[in-house]
Amino acid sequence: VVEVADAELVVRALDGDESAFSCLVARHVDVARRVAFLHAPRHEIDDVIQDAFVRAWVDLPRLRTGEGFRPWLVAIVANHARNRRRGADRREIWEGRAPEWRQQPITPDEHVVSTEQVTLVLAAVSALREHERDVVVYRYFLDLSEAETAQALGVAVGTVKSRLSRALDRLRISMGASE
Amino acid sequence: MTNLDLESLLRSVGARLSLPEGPPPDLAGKLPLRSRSMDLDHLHLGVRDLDASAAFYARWFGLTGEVIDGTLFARNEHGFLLCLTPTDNAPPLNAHFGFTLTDSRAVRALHDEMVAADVVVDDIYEEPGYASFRVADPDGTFVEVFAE
Repeated sequence: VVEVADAELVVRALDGDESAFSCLVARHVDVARRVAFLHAPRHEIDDVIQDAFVRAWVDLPRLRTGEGFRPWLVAIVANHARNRRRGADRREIWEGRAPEWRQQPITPDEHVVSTEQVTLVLAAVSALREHERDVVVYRYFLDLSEAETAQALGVAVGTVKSRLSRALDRLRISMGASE
Repeated sequence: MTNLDLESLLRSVGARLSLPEGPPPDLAGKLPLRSRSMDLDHLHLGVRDLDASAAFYARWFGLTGEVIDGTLFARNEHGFLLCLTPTDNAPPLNAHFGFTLTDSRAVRALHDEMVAADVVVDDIYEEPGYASFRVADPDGTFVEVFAE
């Protein structure tokens, strides 16, 4: 089975093919759900995802040739999620997530992470400045590449590298101090 | 802690992101029709003197073609189709224009939406590789939607 590339599905969707767009939705709904989960109140997640995919369909002609669909979608979902946050403090959203993180690995090759470590990491990440936290979240929690992270955040790849470097320094210091 | 250890730890925590359960988004009927897939394709007019009208549109607008079953099918260099049918009255009662969609499925989908929205439509006409229906605009002018 040859998997149709995102770019080909985008071309078909641009020509009005809703089934091609449905393939893109199915392929990227997980990352969309993760982004919504990280940025929006829990009860808003389903609405955020639906609104974001409809917006993606409408704005698809603005996706430039060569740009990836996934990081472009991530940016749309993040914007919708932030708009839904209204007055809610981001820290509250993050801290409210802690009980929802799985404590046990699903696959055998996952590293065993203790509850204490998860709590420590989440606290340290949530304390980062927003623009540094975003690169950490996108690179490690959403598993985007540096190039995809740069596109999703609308910054240069070099900016992602430097923000990531500073963020890792801060995390190492804050987590070391907590140990 | 080295950067490698820290990155590994971050990835492990990220892999533990326990996503809330939820249905995939149901986008049926929520995606607006893409305007670029719906281009004006043809215009069908009734005319009192077919020869005079054919000459007029050929000379001034570059629309030329042939007469089939009494109707002139004239295209310009961009592919736009003008159909002219002799009638006794002008303006004619059978004037209409048409939008073309990508395929029969899209025609059926729009037909169903317009029926559900209580916009008057006639029955959809289909044959292999072709589908069409007509709708009257608020003034009674017919608009045809089709794919072939």
